[in-house]
Amino acid sequence: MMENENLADSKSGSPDSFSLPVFTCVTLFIAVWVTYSQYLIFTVVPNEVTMGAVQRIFYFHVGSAFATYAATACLLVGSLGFLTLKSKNFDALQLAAAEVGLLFCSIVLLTGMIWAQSAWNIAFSFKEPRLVSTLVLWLLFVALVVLRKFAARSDAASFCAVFGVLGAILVPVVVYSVKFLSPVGQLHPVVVEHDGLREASFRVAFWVTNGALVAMALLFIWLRKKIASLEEKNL
Amino acid sequence: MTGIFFCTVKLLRKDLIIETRRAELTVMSLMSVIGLSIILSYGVWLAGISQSQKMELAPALSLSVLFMAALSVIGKFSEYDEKSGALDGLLVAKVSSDALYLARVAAIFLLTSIAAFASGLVLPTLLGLVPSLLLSWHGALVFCGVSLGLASVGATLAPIAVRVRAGSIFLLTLMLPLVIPLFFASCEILSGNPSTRDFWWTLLAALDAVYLAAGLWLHPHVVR
Amino acid sequence: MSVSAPTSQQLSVVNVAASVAGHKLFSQISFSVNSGVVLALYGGNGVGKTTLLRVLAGLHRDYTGNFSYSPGVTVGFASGSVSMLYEDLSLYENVELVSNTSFTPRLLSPALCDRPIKHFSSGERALAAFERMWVMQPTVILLDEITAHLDQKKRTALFEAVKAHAKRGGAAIFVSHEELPAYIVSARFVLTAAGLSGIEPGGSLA
Repeated sequence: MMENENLADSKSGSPDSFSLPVFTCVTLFIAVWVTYSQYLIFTVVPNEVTMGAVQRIFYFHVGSAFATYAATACLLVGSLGFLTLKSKNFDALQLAAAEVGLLFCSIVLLTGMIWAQSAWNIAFSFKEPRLVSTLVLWLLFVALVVLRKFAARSDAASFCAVFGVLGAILVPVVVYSVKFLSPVGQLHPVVVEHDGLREASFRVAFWVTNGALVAMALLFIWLRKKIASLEEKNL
Repeated sequence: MTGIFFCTVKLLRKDLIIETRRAELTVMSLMSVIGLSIILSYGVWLAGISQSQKMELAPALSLSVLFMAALSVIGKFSEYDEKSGALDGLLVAKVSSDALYLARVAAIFLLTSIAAFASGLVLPTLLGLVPSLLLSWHGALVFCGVSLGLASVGATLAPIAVRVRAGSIFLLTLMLPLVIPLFFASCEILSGNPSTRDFWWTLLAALDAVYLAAGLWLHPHVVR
Repeated sequence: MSVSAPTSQQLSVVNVAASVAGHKLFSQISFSVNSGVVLALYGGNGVGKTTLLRVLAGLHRDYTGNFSYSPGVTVGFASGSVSMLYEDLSLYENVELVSNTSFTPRLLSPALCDRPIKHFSSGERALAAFERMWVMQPTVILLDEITAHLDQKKRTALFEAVKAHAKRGGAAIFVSHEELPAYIVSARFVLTAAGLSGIEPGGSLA
């Protein structure tokens, strides 16, 4: 029996209006969370001894990195889900995860380069495997977003799912393998693991901002997924 | 298993027969190697780089040339499949998708190895160096590792590229993020810090294994 | 060649509608094909006849609805306009890729089968596609404009082959612009944007 996936997803139905209050509450909660993290970063946390005020970019940089990994995880789930279940919901999830992942990965790269320029006088260096692996991840997201636009409508979902799986499984291989490289000669600091956040306020700001940015990324994915599903129904 | 093996051999033989009759891919990849090698070595000569720096630069340049030559080979294979619906004919006949993938990987690997041999020979010669990489098991193994990775990724992504707009450019866009780690690992093995060589060998092997296994699972989803 | 029981259903199509590049070609159509049936499908240019066959062959994924073949039923597809063969290989070499059994051409000369497909005329390519499909011994044959470039003699030989196939319990769907001879065709459909017409009462064929 060959039953087409369009038929299988026709039960998605109209946009579920009951989730709008839920969405509004979650958005407000995350907005407060993000605002609180900004308050901590710009008014509570003292200037770092060596780098001064520039160091505050660290919170956005690391938080965006966590958000990127969260988007990558969603991308993997969406891609695998689509390939195995052929569900349009999972396709919408991978589409949303790719776009949000691109956004936050761009923030990681930009903030990283700004920080690197002021810390080491060099915005980008191939000597630093973490920078390079982030660049690779950014290229992955760019390729995914462009593939979605260039592929025919009937092929886009499958193609993006295949590339999404390839890209998502590459990420842990590259990113975590870097941990096994000798830290000698690497530029990127390993702050948290080497007990760099001794001040309690640093630690609180760090974890609050990480959580806020990850929550924001997931919220964006949820919203973009909803939009993608509505666009699909209207076509 | 034996069925897939024999089917793979038949399909590989098909690609090689077509290539011996057309000779298009071999000529194209060799001309890419020669052309790029000339341009790159001229740039190195213009920059007035010292002999020892050239020796450090040679592996990375050879691998770049190999990558560009491989791109032309990979794209063309999928074009053959799409032309006159030949791949459709195999799919309707229920030819094993695993065999299709493995045969394509093997064919790309063989042709890419020819380009690798050429780039290992031509580029160092134009730089005024002895092509020592080519003469060493170490260098040959690295080039094999890169070729296998390129073949695995290429065999998975080429059917996508051939069916999207601006397909020939798109193959580069799709392959680049997946090939960069292969490229870096190879360069580090050939001319990086010897103390980190084990790490880069492990990474290269892991990437090859991941790409091959993932490609085998994903390939049915990219062919109709 | 597997032989189906008389009048056993081999293909069932339910509410299939196909699109190409987002453009819907025809509304939901339903029909079934039993063993021994040769069905002729007509229709204007661009209405979706080839697309329907490609959907049924599993080559086109942009469709809604569902279709199924009975257990043990295999499907073959041959087109008069796209050979689906590797042009640099001979017919023997193309057949070798899909079959381990020895191949004796029925409609082409053995000498021709040794030459690369790219040297074939349009009619010879259509016959080569048919020969390669025939080697697989499919139960249900899907033929897309296969007679478009054939001379009368070859056309007759092909019709005889299809008629014999139906007599042995197979089935066929012919897409054609020309009128097919009555002695091989069990029923005629016309496909339009609105759907199928000319269907037997009850939506099935015997």
